[in-house]
Amino acid sequence: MSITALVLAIVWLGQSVVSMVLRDPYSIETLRRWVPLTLTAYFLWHLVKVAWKRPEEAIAWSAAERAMICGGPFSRQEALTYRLTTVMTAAIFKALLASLLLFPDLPVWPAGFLGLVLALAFIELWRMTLEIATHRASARAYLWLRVSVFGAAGAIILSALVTVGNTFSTMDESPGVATIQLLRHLFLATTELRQTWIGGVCEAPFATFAQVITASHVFSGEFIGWLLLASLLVVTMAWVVFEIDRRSFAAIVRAERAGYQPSKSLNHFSLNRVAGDSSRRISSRLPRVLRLGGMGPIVWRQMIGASRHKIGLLIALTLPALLAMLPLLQPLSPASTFIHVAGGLVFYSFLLLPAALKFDFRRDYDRLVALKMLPISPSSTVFGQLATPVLLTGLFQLSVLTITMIVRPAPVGYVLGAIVLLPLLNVLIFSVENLLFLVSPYRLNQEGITVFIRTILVFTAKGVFFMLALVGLFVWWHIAGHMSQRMDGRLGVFADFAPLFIFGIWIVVGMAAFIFTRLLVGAYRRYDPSLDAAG
Amino acid sequence: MISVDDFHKAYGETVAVSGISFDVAAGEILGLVGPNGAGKTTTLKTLSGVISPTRGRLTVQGFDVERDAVEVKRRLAYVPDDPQLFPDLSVDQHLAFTAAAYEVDGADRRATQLVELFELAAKRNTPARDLSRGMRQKLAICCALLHDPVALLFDEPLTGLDPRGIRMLKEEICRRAEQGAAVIVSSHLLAMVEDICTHVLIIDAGRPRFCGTFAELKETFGSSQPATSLEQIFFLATEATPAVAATASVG
Repeated sequence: MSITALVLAIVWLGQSVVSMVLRDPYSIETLRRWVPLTLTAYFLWHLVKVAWKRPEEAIAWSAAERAMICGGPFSRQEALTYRLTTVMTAAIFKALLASLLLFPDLPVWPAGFLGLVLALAFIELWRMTLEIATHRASARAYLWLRVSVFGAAGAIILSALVTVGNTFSTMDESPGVATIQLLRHLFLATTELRQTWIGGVCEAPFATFAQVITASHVFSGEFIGWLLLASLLVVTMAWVVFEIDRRSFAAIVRAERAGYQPSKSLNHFSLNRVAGDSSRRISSRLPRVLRLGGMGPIVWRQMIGASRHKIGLLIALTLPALLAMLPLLQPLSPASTFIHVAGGLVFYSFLLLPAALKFDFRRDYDRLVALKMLPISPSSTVFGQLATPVLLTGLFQLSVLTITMIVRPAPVGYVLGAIVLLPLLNVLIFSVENLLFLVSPYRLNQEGITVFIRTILVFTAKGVFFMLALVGLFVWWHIAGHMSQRMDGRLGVFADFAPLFIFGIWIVVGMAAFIFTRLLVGAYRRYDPSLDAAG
Repeated sequence: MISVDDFHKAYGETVAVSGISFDVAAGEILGLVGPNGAGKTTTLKTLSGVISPTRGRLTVQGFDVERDAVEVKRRLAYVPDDPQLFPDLSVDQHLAFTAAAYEVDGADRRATQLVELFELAAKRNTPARDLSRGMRQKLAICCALLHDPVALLFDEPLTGLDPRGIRMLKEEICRRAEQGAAVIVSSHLLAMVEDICTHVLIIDAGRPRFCGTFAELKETFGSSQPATSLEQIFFLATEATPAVAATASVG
């Protein structure tokens, strides 16, 4: 595992260094235009993230931190200071990497590094503020936040889609190129929002950080002024974190005290009524759960979790569905449309869905002891854990392909090919995700340097894996074409290129799914839940 | 019923347990006591199949913990010190989940009896995330008892329980032992161990210090000093030479 991590780190650093050396440096004007925009996007991303899913904890603590820091002789403020220190350490590390990537572009590297540290610290503090506030917000307030955020995001995306939709329908390029162009159009349309007053307000703090990052002289009064202003923004945001944490705690205490009196009066005056209510709630029949070799209860439990997040899931799946169906807007043949939609589905299933469908081991970090105690074999546990995300991904893909078939019916062979391939691919995708988790486990809301490095390495690994898969597909495309010509009907149904091509992919994906699932079973069998995750 | 023979567990260079052997027969309740870090929880987790032993043989009703893990788990219940429940599942859903996992016949009747015994009847539809610490402990105990295990392992079982809950659990443990179950209770509450256990195993730094009945314990450590309570003997045992009666059989 260490060797794999080392290889991935070399790959990532290698391509980063190559990109630094080979490209032309950006001008200061370009930097001043794009740095605030990128930081604002990162800032808004945290807003979308908390609106999507309410944090399970206001501040995520590992078991060791909970025991040593929360349970230790420290005040709430001291514990929060400790958390801020760890967050700032991660921000410094991220800023160091970012400043190295921007090394050719930054006029004065130390100023760039300092500006990035302050900007990332500001964003991390914003994230903490959001998580503390949303964790303790009432259901009504949280609903309002979700409606506002997703309403705004939906309106932006819809208006951008409408604007470019007509252009897209007349494009002659292949759907892949056209999709990239569409995304570019969408991006440019979104960037125009910076001209509005809301965009200006959101971008204002980051324009300050950008001035520090792109400073040409560090011994000037102007630079010191911008630096002081940027530092003031960070300090203010830190104060906001402390204040919102203090106030939300006070609100909880007030709510508990307010709720105490009625229950006290109930105990005194309405004991019979309470007893009556309790007995009415008793259900003598437990829900019926099929065992299915041990998989049944595991799947049933994850499905209950998924049903709790059904609105978030629907929102998470809508965007990849819309993107995958973009070829329907183009003047393509039915077969070509189907291939491009299916290709898009594979890409988005690989890239976006694993993060949205964490209804497997990745959601069970603190419950692995409970799972390992069950009289269920590791294989059944693994298949049970994989079933929910695989099934939900399959349903998502089926829905998109059904819409595609209704709008522009493709030959049945293509549909059969997709039906045969996609389930195996889904098993492969989620086996790999879960294997990575069990080899290097983490909590859902965990932050820090370790998680940051892990994310970079996993993303690099996915990129490498996807590139290798594309190369493999390209090679197999040529080999299959050659074989179908040479065999000249001697391979029966495989004399045609398409069935032979699909069959080959099916074999490779099936074998990969089998191997990774076996590896996952082994990793689960060996996993020791008594070891804490690295912070 | 439960047999542990030359059990060792190491985490890299750190040795958590080194050469523990004991047996617990049907109807016996073994109190597992020792200072923090002695290896009590490691022993229980290994017996329950959560982690693997580094060396040694652990069996439940003749089934090997490593080779026949599923058969062992069918016969066994383990209540960890920090109950790990599924936050989205209600009390009833936890019991349904357990009933399906353990293939329990007549789960409805047993579940009703258990939730009434442990005073969870009014919370049957409450998600675990909304239960108090004590109630979560009670739910974990209900799930553990639902399939009538022949071997019961408790790690600090009284944590978070109210006085009535403590009494209920102690009586239930004794009742299960009378019905033929083998029980191991790990606890720092020596008075409780003395109260309900038939035998005691004292371990310290992963090594056994004593294993036997209370009469044998008093005989071993009380001959030189007038030790009467388990607490006094505990201090004598953990400060004495290791392995006074390291591999004595409980049964």
